[in-house]
Amino acid sequence: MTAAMTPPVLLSAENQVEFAALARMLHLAEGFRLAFVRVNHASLRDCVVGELRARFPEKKILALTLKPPLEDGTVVHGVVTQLQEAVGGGHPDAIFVFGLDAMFDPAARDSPALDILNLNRDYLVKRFLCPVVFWVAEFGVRELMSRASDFWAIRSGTYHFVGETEDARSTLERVEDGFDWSLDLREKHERTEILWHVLKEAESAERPDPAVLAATLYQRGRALEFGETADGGREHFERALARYR
Amino acid sequence: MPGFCGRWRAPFFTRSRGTSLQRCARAPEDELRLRHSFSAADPGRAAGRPRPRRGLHALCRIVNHRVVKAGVTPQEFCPDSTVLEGLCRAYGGHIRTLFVLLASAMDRCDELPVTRAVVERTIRRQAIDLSLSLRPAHWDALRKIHASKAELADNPDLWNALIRNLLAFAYEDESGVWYDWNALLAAVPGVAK
Repeated sequence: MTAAMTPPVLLSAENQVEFAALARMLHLAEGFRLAFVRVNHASLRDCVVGELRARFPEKKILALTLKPPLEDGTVVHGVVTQLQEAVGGGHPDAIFVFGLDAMFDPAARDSPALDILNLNRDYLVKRFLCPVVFWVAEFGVRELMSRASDFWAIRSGTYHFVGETEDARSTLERVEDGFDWSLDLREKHERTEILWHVLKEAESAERPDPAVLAATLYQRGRALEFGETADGGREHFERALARYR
Repeated sequence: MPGFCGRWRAPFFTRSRGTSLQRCARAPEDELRLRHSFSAADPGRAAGRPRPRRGLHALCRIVNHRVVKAGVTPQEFCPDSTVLEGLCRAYGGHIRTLFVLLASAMDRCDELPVTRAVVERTIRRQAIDLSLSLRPAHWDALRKIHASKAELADNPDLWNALIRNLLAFAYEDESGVWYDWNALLAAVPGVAK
């Protein structure tokens, strides 16, 4: 194992294996490779990206955060268009793409941005001669698999990073910020999905943190309240209360 | 459409310099053309059907052929043939998935050979990925298909979605056509129970 692939000790054992795998893919790749990194926490994502940049200082890694469609769902700039504009005439050694999960509404039936991406998959392979790594939350991967299945099928590899207590805290803060009725529908759905996955991770943790669990349950209850579900999130509020007590 | 007949582009190995792992991991321009009706998805085969050894051996040969082209011997790549067979059994039936599994296994190897532990981890990882989009209704339908080895006649929309998303496959051998879930699903934690 080369030094670049030695995983950082601050990651959990599972995440270290995934880090080494991702680093190895970047190290060995020659030409196009499509990779997906499944990570629910921006803090963990930034940490992994920072470590990768530090391990490969000689590589030109282009990072791109996609601009989401308009509120009415109109796609002004497709994913491939945005990638092309970002790359321009340059020759990056790898492209990291963030924000694919903001390109569609998980609760909507149609997802034009993903439809266009699905159609452009062959062009993507020919146009970008380096690894293209999409960093996506779990719900994003789930939707991508069913809505852009041909695009998903050309992947070379997938990598999964599981958040820990600190990541969950940081994600909760991010989700709580401005989380009220005035938020647009797509973002409400996105935050609801993120909360669901953070809750799953928190519940399946080796030592679940009661405070994080309670806060996640509370926020998930609020999200369900916005979603006008039958019980209005009551079950989650009750579970959160039990944890607080 | 029963069976797996068609031409698949499955870039994987290439002949070039570098470490054996590098040589195996590079994506070449080579093209793999297959016309087959493999039935390597051993788990859940209909009772009375012969074990699909021929299909399994053919898949292992494809992998080993690519390994040799990369300048690595099959012994260096994976000395335990049962490990490679395990990978070939799990891939389901979409040849691209087999190469995704192999590439993922190599990403998780410090060096060759590819070990059983790495293969098991890779299969579990890919199985979890495949199951991410599944809702309870999908699982019910897939279990039904797996048990009956028949297509889902009562819900064509769901059946088409399962086929389109490579969650169910049609298989074919000398004794006819049957249907099953993607064999990778058997590796989803908790499903085997």
